[in-house]
Amino acid sequence: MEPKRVISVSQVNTYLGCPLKYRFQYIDKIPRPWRVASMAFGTSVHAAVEWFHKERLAGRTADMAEVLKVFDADWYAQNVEPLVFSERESKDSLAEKGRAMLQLYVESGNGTMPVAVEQPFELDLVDPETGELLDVRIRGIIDLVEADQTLVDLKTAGRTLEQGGLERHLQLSTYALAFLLQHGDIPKLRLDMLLKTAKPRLERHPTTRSVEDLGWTARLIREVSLAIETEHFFPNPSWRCTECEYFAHCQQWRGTWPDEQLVAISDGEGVGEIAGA
Amino acid sequence: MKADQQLVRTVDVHDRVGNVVGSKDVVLYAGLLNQAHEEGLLKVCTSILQIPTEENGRLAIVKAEVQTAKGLFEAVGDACPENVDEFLAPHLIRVAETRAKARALRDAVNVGVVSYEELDGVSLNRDSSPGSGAPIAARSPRHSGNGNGTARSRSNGHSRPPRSSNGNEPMSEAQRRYLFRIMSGQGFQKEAAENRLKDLFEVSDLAEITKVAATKMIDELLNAAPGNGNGGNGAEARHLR
Repeated sequence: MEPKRVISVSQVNTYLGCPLKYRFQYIDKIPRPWRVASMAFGTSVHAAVEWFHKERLAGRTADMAEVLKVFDADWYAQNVEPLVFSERESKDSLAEKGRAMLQLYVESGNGTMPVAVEQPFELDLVDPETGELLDVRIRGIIDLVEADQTLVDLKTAGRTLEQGGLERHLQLSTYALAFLLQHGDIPKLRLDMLLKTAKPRLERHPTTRSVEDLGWTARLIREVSLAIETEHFFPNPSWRCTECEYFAHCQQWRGTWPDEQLVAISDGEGVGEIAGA
Repeated sequence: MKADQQLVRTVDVHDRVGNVVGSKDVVLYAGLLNQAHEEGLLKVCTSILQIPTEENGRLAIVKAEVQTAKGLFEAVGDACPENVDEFLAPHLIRVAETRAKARALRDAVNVGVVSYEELDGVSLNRDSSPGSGAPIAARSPRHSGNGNGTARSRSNGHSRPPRSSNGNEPMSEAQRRYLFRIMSGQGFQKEAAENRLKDLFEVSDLAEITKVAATKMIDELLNAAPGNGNGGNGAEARHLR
């Protein structure tokens, strides 16, 4: 019997953002010629926050200096490979910003102890409205589970949530769906946003989901999985294209980019121009 | 005592295309586990430090704690598609867990010989014999395999097939970040960390480091970290998570 397809939340998000990017990244496995600095920055902040919570989880006092050391090491390592910065940002300015954001995060603790950090899940997808077993497994990692069973996702961003962004947040919906399928009830959810504003801000957005919401989420994941299985990979042009690592490959897919130029870009040449930085 | 009941075995060492290029003494997980039970094993528990994802080069890292009457022994194990056989690639977390437990068990029962499960590029000899240089500390308990089925597929006496990867892929972003965090834990920051890594790998550019070399170095650095008892995950390694 064929094993069930397993799909992760980030794969679903990538596919929904641009199916062709999904193909380049997950099917063709094309190495990224560069990374957008904001993405790498978010990863470094996330690594330091993760370390902070794991220390607390282990019953140790998480020292601010140590949190910053984790961030500094991670951010330096991220910069070893080409990153593309926006006009207003640089390696040093983001390093400073990251330290300020982490200081704020640690000092703004809500007093709730974590019961799990980076908790993985993988389970058969079931439509919670109908009970139908869908032919795919879903996997993901929950950033933080707090003692009152609040599932938390942490994001860094340049600005606050757009209208409806909390309700549409697929990662939180998938966390809730996984929790419902595992434990039989719908958890509290929260999106913690660390904002890279001039003066960093921490916004905590509590939310929840209904069974109907989660049924919709399950069906959406199933449909994405089916679309991948049937190889529906098409571009989804949007503002994101200007900072897409696969911009050149996408142009080649359209047939408007000569192969030799693509090779040069894959080697890291002309990165700034392509990313619009 | 039958030869196949010995704790220490001699295994073939292969190059990347499957040619036998030498031999090595190893211990088997099953034997380690048996020895630990005989010495009063109290607890074995594991925790996942890193889930393998596409973003981190599918590197799974698991920490194991083994408690015996002698104390608590900690170790980490890792697995990625480049350091396991192809048929194990879908089971990276389990391989990393077995490797972590094997390392912790070795410390617990005071066996310095590396375990078969920790290695890549080796297979049990057809007529695997007790190792020559290592102490024979215990009998393998129930069978001659290694406790997780890998022996059977490797013990056919033939060179193993070429791998899909040639082992020369550059280290993953996750590995690079991990190494810098280890360096940070050892007091090397930023450029000093980069220079230290270049020295350790004997390269002039970090881009020259392969995934396989990075895996081995991470393993060695974690094992050598001060303050981690018998090869565990102590104060230095706490930065790694």
